Amino acid sequence: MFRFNWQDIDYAARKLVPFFFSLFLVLVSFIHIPIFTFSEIAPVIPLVSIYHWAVYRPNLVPAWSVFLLGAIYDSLSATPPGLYALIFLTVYGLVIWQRKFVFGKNFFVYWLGFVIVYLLTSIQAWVIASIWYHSFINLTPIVFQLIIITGLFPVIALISLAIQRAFLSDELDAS
Amino acid sequence: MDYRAYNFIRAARPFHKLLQRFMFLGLVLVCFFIMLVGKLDAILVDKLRSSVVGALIPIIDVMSHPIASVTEVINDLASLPGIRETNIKLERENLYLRQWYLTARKLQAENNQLHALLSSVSNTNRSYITARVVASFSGPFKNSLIVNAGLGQGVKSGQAVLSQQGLIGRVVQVAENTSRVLPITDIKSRVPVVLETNRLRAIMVGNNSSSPNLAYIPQGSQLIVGDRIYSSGDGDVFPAGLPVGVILAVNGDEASIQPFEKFNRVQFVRIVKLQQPIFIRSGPKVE
Repeated sequence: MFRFNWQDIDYAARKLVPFFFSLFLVLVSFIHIPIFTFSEIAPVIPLVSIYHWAVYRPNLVPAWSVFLLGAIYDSLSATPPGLYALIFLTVYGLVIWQRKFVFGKNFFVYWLGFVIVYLLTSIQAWVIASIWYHSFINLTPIVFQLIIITGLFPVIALISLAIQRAFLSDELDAS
Repeated sequence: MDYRAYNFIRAARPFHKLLQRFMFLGLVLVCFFIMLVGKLDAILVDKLRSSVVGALIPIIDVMSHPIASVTEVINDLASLPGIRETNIKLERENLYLRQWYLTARKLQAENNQLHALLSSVSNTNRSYITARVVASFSGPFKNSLIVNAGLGQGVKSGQAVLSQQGLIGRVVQVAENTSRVLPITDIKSRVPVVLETNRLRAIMVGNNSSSPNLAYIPQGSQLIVGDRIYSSGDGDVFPAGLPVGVILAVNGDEASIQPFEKFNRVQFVRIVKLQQPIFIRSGPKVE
């Protein structure tokens, strides 16, 4: 017989924190802020969250949830369909594949790892978008995006770490 | 934990890992499949996107309220130091505009008389829908705005979107209570324009930067930096005479444009509802 157990609900809710934090960042990316005019160089903030959880709690962000986040980002941004879903999955896949190089290392290695992953996915996105639009997309905004996200990374990564410490105890880490 | 359950989890672990790996590859393939579908059937993809936007925009709207309040405070504080100079400038501008108002009234009366004499077609029969920008996206691959007016408010795909300063884009996707606006700076945007000084016609082509280019300019044309640009109305996509921007720089036969308004600075927009042109008839009415 089914027994209502608060502990199980609490456990399940905590497991959903990485997804909902990433979803929150996806939605934040679309908030209209009229004082900022750096139109074409706003970076893809949710990638920081996906990178963080793929490094520290990959079991809590399965590939389908990353795909779902990317699909939502695609729908809201009206970019070529599937583009950001693919970028989000690429970040996730690269981190899972090379996780040993950043997991448990100092913050600068962790930071550098993200910059390399972001650079690679930017190139990937540029190639796909250029094919989609049949013209070479201007590369300058992509370079500025990389600079801005490099500066923003510590802030979002530290928030992610704080959330991890607050909601996700080590017993949840099945990696 | 139950010993049998533990054994089952241990035995299933390799299969689980295999499934995860295949799922990842499968999802990557799904992404490419979606791209292919997007190319073949853009309407289907647009419909799906509209439903996602319709579901998520209310949440983004709620999240944006604190930011809107902070923006207002920052704007107020930023305008305080120059408030005296602004006041003097506005008083001067007001005097100048009053003179223009009188001239415009006179010209309008003349214009109406001439229209009536010629039984000409009026192309200024417009009304507007005012909407608030609830979300925006700007990146190297796409620019877009989402406003809180849709089918329910009479918005239709293709309608021109204006700010206080001039044209900022056109409606490309409409849901029940939201619409997506494609800014004139977007790489997919093409606006037929006319230059103020020499009445040359050209096409303004977006490039995802803040300064779109001018294309299809007749060879040997004289382009002047600072010349104003208006929509020409060619192709019936945009109504004629909407202010678009000024020529920012000229390089041989190429020119870049500075739009009158940056789309990401806009809080409210006006969507142009064009009505059927009406004939103005001169002479007495026939009962």
